[in-house]
Amino acid sequence: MKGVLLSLFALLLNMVSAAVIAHVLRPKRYLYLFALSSVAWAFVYIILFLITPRDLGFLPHAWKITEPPLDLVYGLIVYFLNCHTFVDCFFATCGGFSVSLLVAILKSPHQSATTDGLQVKFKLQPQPDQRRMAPGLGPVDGTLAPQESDRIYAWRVSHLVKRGYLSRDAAAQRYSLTPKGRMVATLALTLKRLMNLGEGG
Amino acid sequence: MVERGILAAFLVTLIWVVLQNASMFIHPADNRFRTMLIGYLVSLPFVYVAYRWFAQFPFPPGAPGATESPRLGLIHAYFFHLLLFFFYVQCFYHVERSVTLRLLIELLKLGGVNAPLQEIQGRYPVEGMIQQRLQILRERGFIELRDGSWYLTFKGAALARVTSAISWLYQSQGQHERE
Repeated sequence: MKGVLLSLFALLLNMVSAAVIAHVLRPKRYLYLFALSSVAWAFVYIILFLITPRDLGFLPHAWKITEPPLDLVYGLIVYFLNCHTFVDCFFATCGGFSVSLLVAILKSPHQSATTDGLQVKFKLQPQPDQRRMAPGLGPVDGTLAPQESDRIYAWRVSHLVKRGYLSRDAAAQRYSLTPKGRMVATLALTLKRLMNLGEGG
Repeated sequence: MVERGILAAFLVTLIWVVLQNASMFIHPADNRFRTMLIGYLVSLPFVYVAYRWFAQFPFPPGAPGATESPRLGLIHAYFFHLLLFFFYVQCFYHVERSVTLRLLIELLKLGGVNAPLQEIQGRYPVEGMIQQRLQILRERGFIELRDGSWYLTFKGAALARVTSAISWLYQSQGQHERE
């Protein structure tokens, strides 16, 4: 039980510290911020586990796990599962497409919007330097996909080229899957078939 | 006791996830989240059954009897079962809802070499994406259409406000605000 309690404590500190860092540094790369913060607090969790008494000063005898290494590892697994949930919830809400539609309606005059009005919100103005912002991943070079003019594909295609999932034939404006991109696409397609999912997206 | 709880949670999660995905080939569900939630709730009694069943095996084999409370193992079984449910739902949506994965899959279906990306986007344009999402949000009760305009329901407004608060807390921007 000690491992789980300490892991929940470390998770709370992780969430608070990430918020403080976000206010101070205004990061562009949230995924990196959360990953670094989670790993850092995982080390703190391990240290806390090693230096605190087995009963944490208040746990009844029957609530102590007999094997401390198991308690430590189990707490660590629980910690990372909770970190995953936290990061996933963050990106599903703050970075999610559907939720961004809800927020766009909320911030519209009279808290209402037409479909056309929402579509306009997702169109991009041309930028001289073509820099785009990948949600949670930071700026990417928009010249890797200069034809893109909306908030969905503009950063996404550039990011996929930058990360080596796609290669671009600049002259013909055509794209090819790299071996890495092909592997991911094949795996995703297999999973979709296994779960009997439609095209999705 | 805890080992037994972890194993019980893992085994029951594995079984209900496999069964649920198999059932989708027989009777595909429109609302997969509801199906997953039902699958999770139905599996709850089986966590107890599996926990009791594992009681006949010593963990680790040959280990002396543990001094832990049996309730502790059961609590961990249900707690870990819940965490695995969250993890499965998150992984499911990574695969099901990802626009990036869809883009890569569409490219793969076209052979994956020298594909005209704009043609793919023409089949799944942002306009269509927005209309599809609005329709899903309407079906899930987050928004409603009145006089040609979309309005937030109480549930939709609550989610949008919570999101705005989290965005402020972490100084982040929504997809509609990013350049």
